[in-house]
Amino acid sequence: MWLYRRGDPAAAGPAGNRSWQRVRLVTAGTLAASVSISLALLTTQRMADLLGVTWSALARHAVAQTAVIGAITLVTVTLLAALAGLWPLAGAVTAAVAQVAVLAPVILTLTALYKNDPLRWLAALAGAALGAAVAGSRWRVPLAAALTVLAAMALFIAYGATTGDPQKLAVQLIVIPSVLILVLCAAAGGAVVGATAPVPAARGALPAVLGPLAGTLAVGGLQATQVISVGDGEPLPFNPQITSATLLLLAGAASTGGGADEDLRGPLQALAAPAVEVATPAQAVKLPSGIATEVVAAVRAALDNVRKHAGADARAWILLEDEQDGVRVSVRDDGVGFPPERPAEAAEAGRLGIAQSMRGRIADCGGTTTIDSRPGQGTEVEFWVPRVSRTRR
Amino acid sequence: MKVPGRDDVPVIPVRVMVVDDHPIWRDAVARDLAEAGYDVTAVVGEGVQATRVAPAARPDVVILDLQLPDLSGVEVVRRLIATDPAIRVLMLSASGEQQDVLDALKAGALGYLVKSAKPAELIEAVARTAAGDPVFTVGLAGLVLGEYRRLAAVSAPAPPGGTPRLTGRETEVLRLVAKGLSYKQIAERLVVSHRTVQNHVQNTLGKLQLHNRVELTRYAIEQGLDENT
Repeated sequence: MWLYRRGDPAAAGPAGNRSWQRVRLVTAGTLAASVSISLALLTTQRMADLLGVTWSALARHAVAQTAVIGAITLVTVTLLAALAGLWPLAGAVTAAVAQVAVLAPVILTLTALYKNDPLRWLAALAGAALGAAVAGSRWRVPLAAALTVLAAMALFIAYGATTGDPQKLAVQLIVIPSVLILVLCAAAGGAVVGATAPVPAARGALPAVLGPLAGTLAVGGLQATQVISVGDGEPLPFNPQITSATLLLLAGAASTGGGADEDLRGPLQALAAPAVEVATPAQAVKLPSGIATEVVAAVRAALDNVRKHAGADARAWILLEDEQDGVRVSVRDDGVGFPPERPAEAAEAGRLGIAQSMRGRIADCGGTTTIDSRPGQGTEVEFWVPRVSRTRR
Repeated sequence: MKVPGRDDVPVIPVRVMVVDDHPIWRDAVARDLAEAGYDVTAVVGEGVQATRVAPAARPDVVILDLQLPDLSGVEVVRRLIATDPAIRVLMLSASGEQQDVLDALKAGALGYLVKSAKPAELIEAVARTAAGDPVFTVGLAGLVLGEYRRLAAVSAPAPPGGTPRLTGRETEVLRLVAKGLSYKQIAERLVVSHRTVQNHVQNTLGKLQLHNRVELTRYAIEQGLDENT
């Protein structure tokens, strides 16, 4: 991934246009980060001081406080949308919300597990690994949702069990519920961000997403520190700001590589087998790697489908076409096929589920899937994904 | 040089030259072809040798391995066609280096077969090549389709002579070939004759080769070169 940053294939292409895009995104990201960090200093309390209103007065007038926070949010969002565009903004908001939601309970439980040092890192690692696995799996959206619900339930139960005072977890160094909360929260946060990241990444928006995310994390870390120091638990074992900054640097490095282009021919030709023939153009067919991964996964799913349903000696053909405004991949088999007017029957045979998963992946990339089948004439699945303007050759 | 039916033995034996640098393999091919009734007039292992022998051997069909020790496949095709434009070249290769296959095709080769093909497939491919019917594998159709798309995308300012374009029907036929349908299946699906499908495939190749020749001539004129090979 680091390799892509240095020898970016984009630089080799005829694209002064693209490097300009990159500069624009990075600038937008940096600006966005600075904006949210300065916003962190701009609390309602400071606003009150600035306006010459006492903090207690502001606290009494909850509406005024809401209005001030609302105005700040509105200005920030508008600014970010203007700078980075709507896609990066949507990605940033999702990522930031997930991270901030997860941060406080994670820090609380990390503190609770302070005495069991290897255990807490093991649990945090297990959570991160689970989150990554979910984000990479085919059912990432429902699984991320399920993990979020589970984590929320665990937090709710912990809240109830500590009679509305979750800091007790940290004070009493309770091990088992803390491990559970840690694993679930870390996994849920990772899964949500991982499941939503391919959408902005495919649009080259990750640097801009990470900027606001950095700011939000810093703010979140700051607030979490305050939350914890309220309870008179042990002093914090680490500095949340430094940790989040380091993590973000790593994520930034990884995602810049993740936003690079990938040639679809390689992974598709790797699918060739005695019963599977692959036809591609002679030139590279490039897509942002997030999208390329999805397309290859959808093709794999289609091939699985052929293996399961088309009959034992069915053959399959994969055709990759580089069209002007998109990329088309067709998977045809000469198997038994199924009647299109009877989808219920297909659903019974388990075909529809796989079809839905393929459709979902392609729809995530803004593409379309068509499935055409007649009994005795095999099945033809066609995926089409749009080419993003920045990758146009 | 007539092929009465697909699997029939030609009435007048088709003269074939085999060019491959693997002795065991090329001798096996020569034997298979001789058994099928072909007149194998030359079996050579190198590209230069092939172009030297060709005028005497006067092959109708040349079975050409693209990976030769001395010359590139494209170069051999170009030189063979220069000695006799009527020569029909069937390319064979173990690992299809895609750009090479495409370049050789544009230089005038008529078809392509992977080396893993069965002897019966080879015999049939030679019969079709002899009849002037391009042998398109699925992979080759994909390459040709891609080449037309590339030409359409690059040449927004059209070069003199124009860019070759496929008609809607030709694109349709080529896509179906690339998806593994046989000519018979394509004919059934599009409700046209087998011959029509064949013509469409032939046209896609013909236009590409013509364009290639025009481009080469243009390049030669631009560079102030004469036709000295």
